Amino acid sequence: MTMHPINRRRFLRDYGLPAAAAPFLFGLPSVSGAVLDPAPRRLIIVFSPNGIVPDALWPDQPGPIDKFKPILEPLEAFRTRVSTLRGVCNRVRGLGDGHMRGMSCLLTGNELFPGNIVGGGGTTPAGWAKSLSIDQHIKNLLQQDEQTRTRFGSLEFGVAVPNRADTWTRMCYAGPNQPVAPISDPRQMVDKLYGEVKDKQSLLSIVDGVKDDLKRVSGRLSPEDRELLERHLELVADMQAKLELADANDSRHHPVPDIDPEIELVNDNTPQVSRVQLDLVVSALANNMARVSTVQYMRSVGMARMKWLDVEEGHHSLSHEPDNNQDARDKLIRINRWFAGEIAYLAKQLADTPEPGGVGGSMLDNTLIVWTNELGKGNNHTMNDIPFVLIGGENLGVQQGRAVSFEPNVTHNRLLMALAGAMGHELDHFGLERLCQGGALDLA
Amino acid sequence: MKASASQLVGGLLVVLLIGSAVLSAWADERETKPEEPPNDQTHADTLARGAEIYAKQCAECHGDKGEGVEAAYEKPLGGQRDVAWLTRRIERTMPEGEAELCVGEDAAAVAAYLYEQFYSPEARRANQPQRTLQRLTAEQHRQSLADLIASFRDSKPIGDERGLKARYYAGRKMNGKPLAEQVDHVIDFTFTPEHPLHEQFDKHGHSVRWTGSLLAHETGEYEIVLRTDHAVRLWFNDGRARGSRAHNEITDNEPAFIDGWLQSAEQEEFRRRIFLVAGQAFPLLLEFSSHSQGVGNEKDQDKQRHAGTSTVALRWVPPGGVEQVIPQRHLSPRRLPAVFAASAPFPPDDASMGFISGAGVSDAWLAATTQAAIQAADYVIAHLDELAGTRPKAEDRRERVIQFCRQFVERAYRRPISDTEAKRAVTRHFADDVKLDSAVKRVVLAALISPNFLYPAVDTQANNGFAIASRLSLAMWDGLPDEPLRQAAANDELDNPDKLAAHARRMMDDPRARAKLMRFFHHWLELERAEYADKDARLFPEFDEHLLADLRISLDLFLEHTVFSERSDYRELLLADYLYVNDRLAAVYGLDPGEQTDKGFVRVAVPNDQRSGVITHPYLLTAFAYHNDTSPIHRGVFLTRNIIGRQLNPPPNAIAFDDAEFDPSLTMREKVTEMTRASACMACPATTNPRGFSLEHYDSLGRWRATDKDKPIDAESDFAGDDGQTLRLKGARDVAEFAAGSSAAHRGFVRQLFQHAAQRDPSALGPGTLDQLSARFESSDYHIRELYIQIALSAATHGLQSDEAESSSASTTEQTP
Repeated sequence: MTMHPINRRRFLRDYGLPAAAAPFLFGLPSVSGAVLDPAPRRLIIVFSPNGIVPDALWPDQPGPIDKFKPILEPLEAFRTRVSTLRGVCNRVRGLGDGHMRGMSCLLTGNELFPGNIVGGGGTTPAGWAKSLSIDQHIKNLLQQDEQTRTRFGSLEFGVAVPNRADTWTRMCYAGPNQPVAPISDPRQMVDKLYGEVKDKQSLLSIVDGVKDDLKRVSGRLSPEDRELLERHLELVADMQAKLELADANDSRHHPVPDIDPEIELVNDNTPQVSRVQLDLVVSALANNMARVSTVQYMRSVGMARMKWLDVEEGHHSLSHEPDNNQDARDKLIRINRWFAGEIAYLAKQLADTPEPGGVGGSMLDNTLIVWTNELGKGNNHTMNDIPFVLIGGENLGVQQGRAVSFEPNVTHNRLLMALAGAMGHELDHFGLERLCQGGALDLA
Repeated sequence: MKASASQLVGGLLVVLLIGSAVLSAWADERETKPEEPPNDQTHADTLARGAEIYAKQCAECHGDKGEGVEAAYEKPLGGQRDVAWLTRRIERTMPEGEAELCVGEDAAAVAAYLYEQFYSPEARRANQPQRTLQRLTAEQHRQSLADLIASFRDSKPIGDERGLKARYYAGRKMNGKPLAEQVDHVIDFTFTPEHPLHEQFDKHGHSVRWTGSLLAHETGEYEIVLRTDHAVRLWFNDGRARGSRAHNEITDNEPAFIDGWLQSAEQEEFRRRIFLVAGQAFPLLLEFSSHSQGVGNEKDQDKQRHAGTSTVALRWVPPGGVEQVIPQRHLSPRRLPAVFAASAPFPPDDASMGFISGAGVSDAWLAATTQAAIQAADYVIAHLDELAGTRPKAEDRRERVIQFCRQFVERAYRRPISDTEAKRAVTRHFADDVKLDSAVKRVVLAALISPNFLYPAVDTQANNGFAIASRLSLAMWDGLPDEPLRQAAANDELDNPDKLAAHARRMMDDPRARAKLMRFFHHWLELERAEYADKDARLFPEFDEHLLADLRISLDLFLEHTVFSERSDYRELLLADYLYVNDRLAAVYGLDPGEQTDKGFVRVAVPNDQRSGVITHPYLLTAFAYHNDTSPIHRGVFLTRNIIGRQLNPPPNAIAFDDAEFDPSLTMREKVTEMTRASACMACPATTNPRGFSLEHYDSLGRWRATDKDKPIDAESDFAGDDGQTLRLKGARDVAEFAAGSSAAHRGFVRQLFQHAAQRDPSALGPGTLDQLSARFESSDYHIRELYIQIALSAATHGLQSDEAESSSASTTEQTP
């Protein structure tokens, strides 16, 4: 078997060799994936919490969307490339409160294990989700196939997600009882994506100095000792040559984006953090590091204070206000418009980036964005009419530019199956089998 | 080593590879004390005459320096014989075909000349090109990186108290005044209604917070294991663990190292691996709650499962060990600063001389070095404000960071740097267009892959206080000088022997010195071979990994007790008539542990004629044995070389011990005697076999036995003592007593400890070094720690009186920067 150098590390990893045995730096595959797929299918799931304001989001009637309601207005430039799916319901019941199930069953379509976490309203305590989430399932399917395999498979981004692991902060699961923590620190994400490239560059910037040091020090030594340093110098020169070669490869295939991740992670910097994270999503996908990505804003029951929107109250408290509280309603619309604006920014970056494989079109043509939430509405904790807004991804067979209303309502498991289908993998069921009757929803 | 161990375990045909040595043709090289070079005129004349004759009659075939001549006599002259033997040989056979040309005094003169110039072991050693420069060993590298970063944090002593500090809380909340504050020895609790605090616990559950540090005794990968049926989480070796306040609004606290706070699907075990460095203390914060979590309020609590009985345990799998509750001796109630532990995979160091040294460089070593430098740089950047003593928005942050970088380089180089060097190593990286983090990264990387860091001796020919401090800290604990030592070096105090010795004594109390000394004993006793020990399950059903792990603890406890007791007596290592046992060991070895009820170890006296110190410790005896029988050959070689202090030359040929070749009714002693009689190499077995037979009373698990194959054990043998007189040794205790009183054995021990501490042979420090240290060892009543201190001091001051080093530094072609 000849092994493509790019897959060597993955081979090592997949076949259980310790990470320590993996080659170091210059032995590494370049950070990008294999030969570029001319038309890759990509999926980005964006989460925002605490429900929405239904009449400020859902179009008035099914069919082509002529005009957006206020929450979707920031997406106006993409109106013909946006679809809203109404009537999709999270029917998973069992342990845990609405927020817990809303969050941890959203992408898994399955119940929660018994556990020690008590939700609001005195519900029976619950633990983690019973099975893996759709993003991880799709990632696993893609990674099994040489054609669709990438360095990471999937990337889990967070924006202002608190460092607390519980049923309200985790929507991605690698398996039963295996929550996946989103990365909310852009620096950490830059390190994950580009750390090795940057290490090579840092080393290259100092290696001449090290060679000088070795020569300078050698001069003082006995001939026998000098021999040792000469050997050392040879090894350093050899490393330098390999680094230069690797660096040339890196910069040819995937320039490190000029992104400054050095933002203090405080609440008020959330807008900047959001943009950096979204830039990193686009750059990682463009560099073919993953085909699936999730972006989680805050958490279920999140209490972000969006002062940059002139909202002083915590988000979750606002979402509990009755419908007739006009001030709260205005603020919730403002909050959700902001999320929509961030998604519009993401869509624009994708639309402005030509598909790297050179087949024409933009990345957005091949990338489906799904914006969703753990609830339909905050003050009644309904998991009916959960907002699912789809943007772009027409090459995945998704028909855009329309408001869809499912009557009767459908389970969200069927939508999760449809996402897998759009990514090239038809599923018989996903999550709780009894909620999959009727099969994948038709998005075409 | 590993290969031989696995062969020991498995095959029918067992090749006897013992270390690098093989069975046949071993020469028993008696401990040859360096002879005082005769200095009188007659001797000088003899040598001059010998030189003249050698040049005329011998050099043509043997080379000017006995190096051999191609197509004539190619083998270099060198061997173990004495001058008298050489003289006879020359008289009878040399020059070839004309033996009558060189006889009588001529022959004696040539023999004396070539013996002293190039034949004797001393001459050969002296004639070898002296490579004195060594790189850091892997252990030194990791220790130095840990020490370097620790030098920017407030250190405090770990203290003598052991266990973790505990605060018990009545309910879910862990703030306010606790119900109780105490030190818990180990964390392995089942909270039942019988618990003394039970009455005060909330009926829905209580909480406990433990703080302190974990003491790593070996460098390597550990696995930390938490077990609970409720909620548990552990912060380890970082911010929260060491008690710093979180200052971040979004990420409201640092993620736990192991987070089992959410109990789900009755998962009761949480594990995570981490690389730790020996002799360092790693801060931790462990929280437990039997209460439900989440948002439920009081009235909802009745719906929840009642707390009932709850359990929590803090366990580990130490390197090469089995899972167990973390023992009290590895826990301290003091929270120390976090430690940087580089996990980069270093290749094994050179051990070809019988001890670990920093000889040679390789691709894998350079890669590990670079990887460790990157790990350290990333760590420094992640903790930059803390290490540099600044804040994210401080106005003088840049200046402070540059200042920090200069100190970092100085501590990495183990000496102050000149402004010119600072420009090269620090300031030039802080160009205007380079971000602060990137500049710091370059400084740290460059410092840690520079020869000034990697070769501690490269700068130290100057022999100033910094060089002494560097050598002392390497010898004492494989790491960098600490603050007091740096200060003393800066104040020129270290050429004062008393002050230097005071530092060495102070450093001896540090856990790093303990760890390095324990590493020596593991090396001396060749314990790595025990890690691969396996036994025939039909013959030894008692044997499993737990027994092996307990045996190791038993031996470690004995070593620690002996070495770190006040007397620290080498003889006690050999003569002790007690063992440390727990219940399991007591049962297997037929001992009475007394009141022992938990899993702890107690010291139990054993009959004086059945055990004698380390050489009869069952862990060693288990390691030096076959999977189904004893191995007198392995045991004999070990005793001869490591304990009695005689050097064995590696033999040119291997022969194999094949159990199936022998009459099964023969005892092991009979088989080995039969086999080695048949082999051509009697010299060595004559020495080693009887030593191995001395341990025939101990079976493959090290249990005392009276018979082998229903015949009484014969452990007696004759033995040629240091003065050549024949001794009758009746068994293990006789061997131990011989070694305890033998100056050759003492010298062997001193030599091995020196090699471990200083990564070189004592002869490298001049011919008298071993003698002086041995004499001091004797006069100190064989005090091990005192010997270690003396060795470290002689390594630290080496070069001060050495003419050779002076002359080489005089010829230095110092380049002005």
